[in-house]
Amino acid sequence: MFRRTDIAMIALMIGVVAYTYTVKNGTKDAAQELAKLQRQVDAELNAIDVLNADWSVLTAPARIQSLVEVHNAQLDLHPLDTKRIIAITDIPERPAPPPEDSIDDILARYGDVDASLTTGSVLKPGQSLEPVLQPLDAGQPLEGDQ
Amino acid sequence: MSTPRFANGLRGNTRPSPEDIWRGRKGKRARSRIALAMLGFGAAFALIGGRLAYFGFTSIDATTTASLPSLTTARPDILDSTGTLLATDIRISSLFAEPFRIPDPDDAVRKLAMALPDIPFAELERKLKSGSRFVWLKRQITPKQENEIRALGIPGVAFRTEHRRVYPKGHLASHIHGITNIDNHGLTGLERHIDSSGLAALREMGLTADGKLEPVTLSINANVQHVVLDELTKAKALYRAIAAAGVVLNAKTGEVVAMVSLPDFDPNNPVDINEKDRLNRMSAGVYEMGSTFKVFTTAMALDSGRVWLDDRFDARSPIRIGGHSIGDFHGKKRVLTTEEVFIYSSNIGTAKMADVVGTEGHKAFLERIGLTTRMQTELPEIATPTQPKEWKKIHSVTISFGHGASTTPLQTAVATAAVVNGGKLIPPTFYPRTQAQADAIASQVLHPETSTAMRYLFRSNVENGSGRRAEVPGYFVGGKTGTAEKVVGGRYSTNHRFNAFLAAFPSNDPQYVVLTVLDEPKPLEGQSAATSGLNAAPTAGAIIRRSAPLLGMKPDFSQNIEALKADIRRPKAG
Repeated sequence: MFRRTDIAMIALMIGVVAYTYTVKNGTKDAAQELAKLQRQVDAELNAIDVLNADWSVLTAPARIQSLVEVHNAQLDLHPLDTKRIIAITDIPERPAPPPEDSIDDILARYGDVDASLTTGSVLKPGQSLEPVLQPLDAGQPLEGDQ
Repeated sequence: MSTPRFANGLRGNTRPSPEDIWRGRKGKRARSRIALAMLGFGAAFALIGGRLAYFGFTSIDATTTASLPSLTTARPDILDSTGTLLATDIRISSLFAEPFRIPDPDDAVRKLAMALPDIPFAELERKLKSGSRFVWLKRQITPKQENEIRALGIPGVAFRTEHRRVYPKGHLASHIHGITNIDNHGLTGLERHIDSSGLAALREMGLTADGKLEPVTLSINANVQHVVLDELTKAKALYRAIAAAGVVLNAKTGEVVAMVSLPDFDPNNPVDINEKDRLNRMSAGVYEMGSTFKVFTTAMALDSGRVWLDDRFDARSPIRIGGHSIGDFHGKKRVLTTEEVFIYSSNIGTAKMADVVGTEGHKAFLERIGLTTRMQTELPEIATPTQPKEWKKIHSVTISFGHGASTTPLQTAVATAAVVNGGKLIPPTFYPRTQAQADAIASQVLHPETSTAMRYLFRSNVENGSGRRAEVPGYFVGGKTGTAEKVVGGRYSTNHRFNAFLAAFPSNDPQYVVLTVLDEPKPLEGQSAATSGLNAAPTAGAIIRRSAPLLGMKPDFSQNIEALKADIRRPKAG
């Protein structure tokens, strides 16, 4: 009995209703999310204010001074002497290093290095590593083996 | 058997077609009904559409929803010149009730009395049974109490977020920023000034209920403020004074860098703010400043062109006037030069200097330098100086050394800034000000040459006179002591003193003026006197020693008083 256009209209209507419902529901969810985020933002802003106030309390000069007075045995802080405030130009130039202090000069100062000098890490001329690295005697029992 | 009509009817085609009905009498009715329905629906949709369009064009005014009374409002944060927080708002819950909504007041009273033991039972009962529309139960409750009361779930009882003013630095700058009341309205100090300069108007319009306001920056430096507070606290205890006060003023711009008055109060819990001794002595108290006033007498005499540094004044015998005899505290009993009069603080010599200018000239000068009129600044607590109704010669004589006219210490510091900065009187401010802004409002009250000579005298007093204990190596401090006798029971008492030290540094080009005041200091162990040079001067010195590096002042050991003297030129008379 229904004509094709009727069916199309009903389908369209159901579609529109469903779409409207989802949009409306989505809006509600978004509004809730927005309100929740806004509450979080407010709470964070409030927390920032409280932390700023806290920081101001903790850095109050009177508090720092009393802490210094209590711990001055370890800190050893003193009031600034005005004589210690100077400009960077008042600091004398760092003296230039004596020119002879290059590595060659130092070596020259000590004369010729004795080639026969034996150290723990230098082999004598003609010496080889062989005697040092003797293989273990297979027949010799190891300590604690018995 | 059969009726043709019926038969015809059965044949089918005689049944009236819809078109027939439409055109017929019945059709006419149907048509008008449909038209009516269409009109009705059309009107309804037009209404909805119009309403939508209306909402589209008007923004909903959120402020009109705030119908509850006493909404505490946001206030701007107060910062010092370096950005340190001095005052801020913390959001906190307050408990209120709408008694007309409470179904069972007895039950509500019982439950609330358990949660809030500090509110009297009778008060709760009275408030909750009143049937009124709105009543505060407890302002600014703790989060713990809030949770307890929420858990009770009493209908008609709810919370409102309010702003509470918090001063994280405690009493550091209490006299400067002042306090607010529980509704966050400024009561004293700059809090009150902030209200009167626009915040109150914003609040009336409902614009401060939420949202952040631009912070207010002051010219105060919290670190220097602490130094002044700390040194004055120590000095007040050491010299057993009943009160102490001090100010550090930028001599070039008029900015107040630090200002302290002791005893002070805790702005977070100002229970004792109304006690008499808590007033801001720097600006709200007037005092006979004593010898520090000789600064202005000397400056006046030099500026008149009729007195110069090498002029001589006979200080051998006391001045007798109107049955009074005026002598010197540290009498030298000889003829003194102007410079000696200043550094030995001779009353006789100073009175004679004032005499050269004359009574009318003296009065006019003090007015010009702003010492006899009410000071113009942002702070609401400003006292009006007192002076004799009619100036006679005796008044000029006593005022020349600081007795007979009372003024506020802050005003004295401001006038001193004019004496040392080249003669420019700049009204003090508690907000940042640039050099250009200061120059625009400054008024030239002295010749620059007079100022140069006064700097030399200030320095000379610290090197050779009574201000020796204020010296700080490298800062070339100059200053003047003042030991005033206080009036006790109608007579000047030699045991009750009001001591002050006026300092300016560095003397070659003063950047800052420091004034310290000690009320009724007592002599130290082993000292017989409690004059200003023994207590107020070393206190000023200690303040300069600690605060000058904080103010970015570089010590300069190359300055000497001879160079200062060489710069002095005599102003043209006039």
